[in-house]
Amino acid sequence: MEVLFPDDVLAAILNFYPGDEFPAAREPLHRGILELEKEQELLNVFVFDEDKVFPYSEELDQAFGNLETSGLLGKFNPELRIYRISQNLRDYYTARLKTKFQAQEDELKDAACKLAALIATS
Amino acid sequence: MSKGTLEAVKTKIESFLEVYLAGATTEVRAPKAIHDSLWGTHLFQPHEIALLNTPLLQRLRQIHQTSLAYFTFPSATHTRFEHTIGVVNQCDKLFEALRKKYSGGALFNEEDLLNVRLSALLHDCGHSAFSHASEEVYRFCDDMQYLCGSAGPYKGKNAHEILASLIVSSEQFEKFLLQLEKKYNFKCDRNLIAEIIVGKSPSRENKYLTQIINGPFDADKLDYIYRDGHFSGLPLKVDLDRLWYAVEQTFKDDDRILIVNFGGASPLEQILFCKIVLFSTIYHHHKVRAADCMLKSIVEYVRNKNIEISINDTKLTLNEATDFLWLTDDAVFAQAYLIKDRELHRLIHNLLYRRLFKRALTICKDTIKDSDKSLGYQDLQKLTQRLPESHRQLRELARQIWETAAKPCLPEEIWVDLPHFPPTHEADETFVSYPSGKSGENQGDPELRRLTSVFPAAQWVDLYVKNKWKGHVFCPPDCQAAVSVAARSVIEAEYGLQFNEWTNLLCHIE
Repeated sequence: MEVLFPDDVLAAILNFYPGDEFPAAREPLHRGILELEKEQELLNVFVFDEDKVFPYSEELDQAFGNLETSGLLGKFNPELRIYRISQNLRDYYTARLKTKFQAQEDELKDAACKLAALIATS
Repeated sequence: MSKGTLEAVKTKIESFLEVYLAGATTEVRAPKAIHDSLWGTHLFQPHEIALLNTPLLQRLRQIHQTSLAYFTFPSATHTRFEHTIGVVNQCDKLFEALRKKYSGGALFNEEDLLNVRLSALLHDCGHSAFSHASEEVYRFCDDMQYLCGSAGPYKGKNAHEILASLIVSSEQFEKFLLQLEKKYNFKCDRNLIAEIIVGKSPSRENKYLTQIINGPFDADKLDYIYRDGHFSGLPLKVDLDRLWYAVEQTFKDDDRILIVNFGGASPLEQILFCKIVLFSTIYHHHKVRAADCMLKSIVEYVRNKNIEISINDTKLTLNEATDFLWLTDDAVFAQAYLIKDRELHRLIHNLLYRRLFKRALTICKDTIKDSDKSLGYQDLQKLTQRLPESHRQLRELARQIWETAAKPCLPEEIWVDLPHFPPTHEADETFVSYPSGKSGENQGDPELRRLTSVFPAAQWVDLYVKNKWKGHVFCPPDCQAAVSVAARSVIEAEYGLQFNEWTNLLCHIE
């Protein structure tokens, strides 16, 4: 079985995210992914420490950082509070992840929409 | 891996403590003042001195605080023991600053002080040789992966904190603590101490106590920022007096947490900046990372050759996290003389006499053509995740490099090192209270705002971290040229990347 990295799962969800931008604040993102993790096995790659001020996943934090460093995700200057999903991320999904997630695309779309809703209401 | 794993780990910890609490005496004549070059003199109670005198905590004298950084920063020879003393001191300062503000109430009483001071004293007792350098190895052991994994009892916690917490929860430790309680007439909460060490709180009502030791601006961080900076020759300052004036407690949702008033935002930003400077200057210095990889070579060689290490008549294979509790820096170096294996002797001596690995390749945005457009860069970047699978893939990559370079050294001596980003999430976990904006009788409750929403310091720091990030391929000095060529060709072929001329310049390769 092919191993999924946290970065793969995050990039796949963001590929189906409705829109190109979303707030970069950690708490709603980590809370949102934790909520989704409880109902979708695919997201078990993120392990949460739920004893902090808000649930925190080291894997999720690192995955966001990695996607930024490799130019798949960007933040606006000067306050850096908004993430922008770049075309590179869409290309990365098509080239590297599409076949891995073929059977789970509906699940990913659902997760992306729920994440957007959770962020919007936080 | 299952619940049986936890029981097996507990049994091994009991065996370890049979040796490291054996002969520990409860006899201490009076409170003792301990002098610390950083914070000055601090008074320790007899029961605290009795704990400090146990082999369990004395072994921390043989564990360098900043792993192998002293081979690059010669004065960074301070140990986990000194840091432990410093954390008790800073914990006391933080606690007293809070007690002044809330005197007369139920909060911050003598019992709380006793428990948080003991948590500070014991918070690092689970560390192994060279601190975080060995933690990067034993975190991948199956037993530890179960404990901190999604199905484990310590989900998302740090490996050394899990071991420390299990030590405090053990029967052997309980027995010793009961003797101390009886002799010095006090009663502590051992479960609370074990929970505080891993950042748990028995109730949401007393989360603030945990945060004194394990929180966004805890005593641990305050000591290591000053101590690691000072002893490395990198003076870093935080306006601590200002922080003590500003620290408060309040409820956020149902959690009683530590916060600062709006005057305390600057010291919090200073903590964040100082921490990141420590990472980029010391912990992630390429020579420090090279030395860390040399330690990993030693462990990997021991495992690959099925060498058995014997400490206090206990046989260790280094395949279980609890094996590492028996190791200190001295014990690792001693294996060069105790085990009759020429290669192991050479590997340990190379570290001991600072024949450090060299950079054969630098992997970063500056050394890769069009890194922003390269999909292969993300394929490589995701291996920075601290997961067994990333470790496996990086070792496989190193093996390919070793084979392509015509096996110029032991396979255990080639490392592809992709450091994890330093965590900056504390800034999002820290809250600042602002006056409501109204004045006089109409003044409402203060408004709680996240530090990152006041000023985007954490976002800037994140950006700095990402731009400073560098990965490396390390190898012994005498095969640097061959490994450099091989590493470049293997990584270019595997990941579809193209390195530019900067990579040789950064590695000082002609």
